[in-house]
Amino acid sequence: MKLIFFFFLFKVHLFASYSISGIVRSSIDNETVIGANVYLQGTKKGAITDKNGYYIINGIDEGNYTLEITYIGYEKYITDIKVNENKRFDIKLKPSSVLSDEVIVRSEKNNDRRNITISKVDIPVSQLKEIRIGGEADVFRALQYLPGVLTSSRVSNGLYIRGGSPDQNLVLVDGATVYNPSHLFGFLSTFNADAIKDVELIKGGFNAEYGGRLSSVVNLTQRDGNGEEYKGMFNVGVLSSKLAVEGPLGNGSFYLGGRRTYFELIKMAFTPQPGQPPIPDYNFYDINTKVVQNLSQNDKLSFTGFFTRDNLYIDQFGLDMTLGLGNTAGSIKWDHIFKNDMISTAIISYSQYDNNLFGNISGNDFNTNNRITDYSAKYDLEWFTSDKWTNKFGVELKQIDFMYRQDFTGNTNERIPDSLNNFPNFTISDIHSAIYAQSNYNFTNEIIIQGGLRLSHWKFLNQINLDPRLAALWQVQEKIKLKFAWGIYHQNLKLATQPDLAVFDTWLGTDTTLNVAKSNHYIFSIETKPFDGYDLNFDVYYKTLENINELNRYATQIKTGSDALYEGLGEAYGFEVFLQKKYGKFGGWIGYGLGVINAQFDSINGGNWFNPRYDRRHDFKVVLQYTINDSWNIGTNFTYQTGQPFTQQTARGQAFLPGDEVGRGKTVPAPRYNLRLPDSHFLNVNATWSFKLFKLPSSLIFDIYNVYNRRDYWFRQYRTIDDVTTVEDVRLLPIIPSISWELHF
Amino acid sequence: MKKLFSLIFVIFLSFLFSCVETSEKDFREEYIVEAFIVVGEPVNNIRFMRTIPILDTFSLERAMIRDAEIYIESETGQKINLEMSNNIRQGYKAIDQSYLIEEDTRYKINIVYNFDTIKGETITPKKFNWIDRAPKQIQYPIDSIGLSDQINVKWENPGGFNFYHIVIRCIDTLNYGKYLEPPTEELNRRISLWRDQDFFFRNTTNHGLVPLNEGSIIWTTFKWYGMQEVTIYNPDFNWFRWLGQYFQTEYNDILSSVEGRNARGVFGSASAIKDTSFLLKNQP
Repeated sequence: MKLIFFFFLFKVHLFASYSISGIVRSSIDNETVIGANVYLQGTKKGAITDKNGYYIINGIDEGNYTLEITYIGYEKYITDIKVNENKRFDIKLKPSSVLSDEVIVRSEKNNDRRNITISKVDIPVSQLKEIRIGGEADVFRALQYLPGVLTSSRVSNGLYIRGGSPDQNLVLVDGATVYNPSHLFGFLSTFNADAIKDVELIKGGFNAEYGGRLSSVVNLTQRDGNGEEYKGMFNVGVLSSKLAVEGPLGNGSFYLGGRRTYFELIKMAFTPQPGQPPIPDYNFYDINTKVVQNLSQNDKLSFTGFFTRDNLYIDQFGLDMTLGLGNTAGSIKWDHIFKNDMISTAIISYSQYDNNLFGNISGNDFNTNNRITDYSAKYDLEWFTSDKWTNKFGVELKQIDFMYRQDFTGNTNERIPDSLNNFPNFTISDIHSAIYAQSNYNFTNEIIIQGGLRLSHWKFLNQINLDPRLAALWQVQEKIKLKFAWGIYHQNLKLATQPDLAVFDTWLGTDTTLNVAKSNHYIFSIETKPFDGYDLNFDVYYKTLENINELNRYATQIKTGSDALYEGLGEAYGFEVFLQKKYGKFGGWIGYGLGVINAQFDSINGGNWFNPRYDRRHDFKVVLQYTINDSWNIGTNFTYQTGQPFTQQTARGQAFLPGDEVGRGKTVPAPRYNLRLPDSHFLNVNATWSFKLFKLPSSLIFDIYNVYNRRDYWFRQYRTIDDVTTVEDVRLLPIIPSISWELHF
Repeated sequence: MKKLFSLIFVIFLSFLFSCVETSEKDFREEYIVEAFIVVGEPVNNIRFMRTIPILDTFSLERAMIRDAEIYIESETGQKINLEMSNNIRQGYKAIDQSYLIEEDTRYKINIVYNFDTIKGETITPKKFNWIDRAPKQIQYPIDSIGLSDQINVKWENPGGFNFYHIVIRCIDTLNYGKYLEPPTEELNRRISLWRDQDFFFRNTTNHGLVPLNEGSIIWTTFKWYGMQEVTIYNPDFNWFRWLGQYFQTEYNDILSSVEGRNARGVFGSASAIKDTSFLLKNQP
């Protein structure tokens, strides 16, 4: 209770001062501009536009000022204003015809004055789109190039952030939670970079607005669409093709984009060898859609849709099998500006992830089907109480339905009596409610404290979790900030998954046999601007993890959560350095992370602590992009990481079951993950040539993945078919050149 | 600024040098017990082995321990002494082959070797019977003479956790025609499958786990045409658990049901029913 009172103990001074606020848009397409600098010349007052393009500067004394708005790629907007009342300035920025290295960062620090965020990384979408694999720009693949963001292997897009597993990341698309953002069995993410306007990653210490996950937040904003004119884009690549159309609609805009693979066509070039099974059919697609309507100057309504699907068909040796998995998410979002100093966001969202395996073998059906459905309503209110004090409140209500059905009886139409059924089969509905409050107070121009509290309740367990969050900032010098954050985080949802194969991911709620997972974050950060346009950040973190889970691969009778999952402890600590240049002809980043992850499960490794497979220790990444001229830009990215731990096999035996004449070779493992594979490193390069084709903007995109053909180790396997054990190192992808063509119309 | 960067550099170095990599573990000889007893049958095929270094050439002769003292005791006081079989693959067997394992009875195994004692315990499941037996003949590929291409069977649920271990075994890989009416000289042959190189190929058995007291044994299960034996085991939890790792490539201690220094393995029991069925060729 003391913490709640804490918010109201600040002494508030309400001066006779005024505010200016407004929305910044692009004159090219009327899209709201996120992250524009709004600055009152000759003062220290300024703001950065939020995800709605909204800014507010308050505490302005009466007088004449010059308002300056800057954003890279746009002409600087300067206007003289007279402030004698609260004023609203909605502004459209004009594109700049000259590429400039100039970056104005004056008021970036003002962002923290409203909302301290620590360990947050913003990657400009223009940079993100230049990071590709097989010619495919991928949001999660790009995030993997950040220090402290690891993967279980290079073929997986699951993000292991500062020791947290992918299920511990809250992934939001326009406010709707996405539960399995994977295509190609985890190789690519479901987020088409062309449809995304903004990507924000908070690696830890996130504020009270976010909850329900232990580790991080990935917050994606889809494009609103061009509000000025009808436009289109067509892209043909090696893995997939994309089509997008956008344009004005009513008082706003629309965007509709999609992509699809055509593996069915590619596979026609390959004929299976005699005796080998035929190559299965596979495809994936995703569709992003958004409709935005500006109901008034103060009201914006957005409808977002997000659909993804992966389909695999196998027809061989009398086995017919169909595997389908995907996400369906949609949200309705209403942004409302009450007064200049108060804005609200209401979101109603729906999100479903399902996977369904249906097969028939010689007339016997089998089926596994699992689904998580999330119905959410969320309301956030942000009140710019004074130029020193900002408060934020919110409430969230969520119904989550879990369904799992497995049936190998041979007749999936006939329901087996539960009393006789040993197949996992359940439908559970749970209600989650949460409220939060957060207060940000500027004690001085240099010292800011932010406190927050999140209270959440899960109906099934009837358990209340209390998550206090605290952040502090000290502006040591003009270009040096020290930040600290601490928070407690709870997570009710559990994910049963195989780390390298996100096919049969099954979300479960915490039942009475499991415990709600909990984490403590302690983060200390130094944010500096050593040169104009460059950010250099140092983060030190320590994170505890309780009641985290690992899949019990030997479970055959799954009646409860504890049958499917082991529970254990973990801790992660480390240090990260991140040098980033977001804008200009030359951009990118260099990052280094040193991280240690320890885990302990009573049922794994004899209960001893071990380093999980995604413990990489040294993690060095470079992303560089350079725009040579209007026609050419080039880029490269490089990764060096400590080799992954693997479990050495020290001995072998032979296993017989009743009736067997020949035993099966089996190996005896050393303590879990006791050795490491060789270090991993690889380099990618890319180039884009832009030109006109029939007077339409067009580009050819060249990529070479793994330029020097470094076949890193994926895993080591021990084959015991023969009397002499064969140790095989399975290697990762070789060099892959690719080309794609893009046309804008 | 310089001081700040110096401080950061020192912190960084302290992290760097605090990294400790684990080193390679040496081989340590361990014991592996595989002891399955079946209600109504004498004790046979009890295997007690040592592990072999991973990069040494494996041989069963080297792995099998032949000079252990092994005996099984029942709760009724019966002591069953075991001896090594002549065929090393069959491991140890009861000296007294007339003693048959009883249902619903607690048995304990004791293995004494090299000053170590390994122990395990099981309670035998109850007997059960067929409800729908296997058809006398099936045919693959289906179906010019109207026979099924699969064995549909059902049996009583004797209680317990209702998981069953099904074993299909071709009991005569050489002869085919002699089981026909009238008999012929035709020889048996394999059903061609693409899995052609591991223990799966070399064994005449195939194993499955069914979470229900009925099941369909489909053509992909068979390795040969001809006479097949179908066995349904109703296992105790030790046996059942051990099956979990049979399909994995490495041993996992949490599935072990024996206790002893440097020992892992199973002492499990099952009740069982058996039947035969003949798989006809539908092609020459």
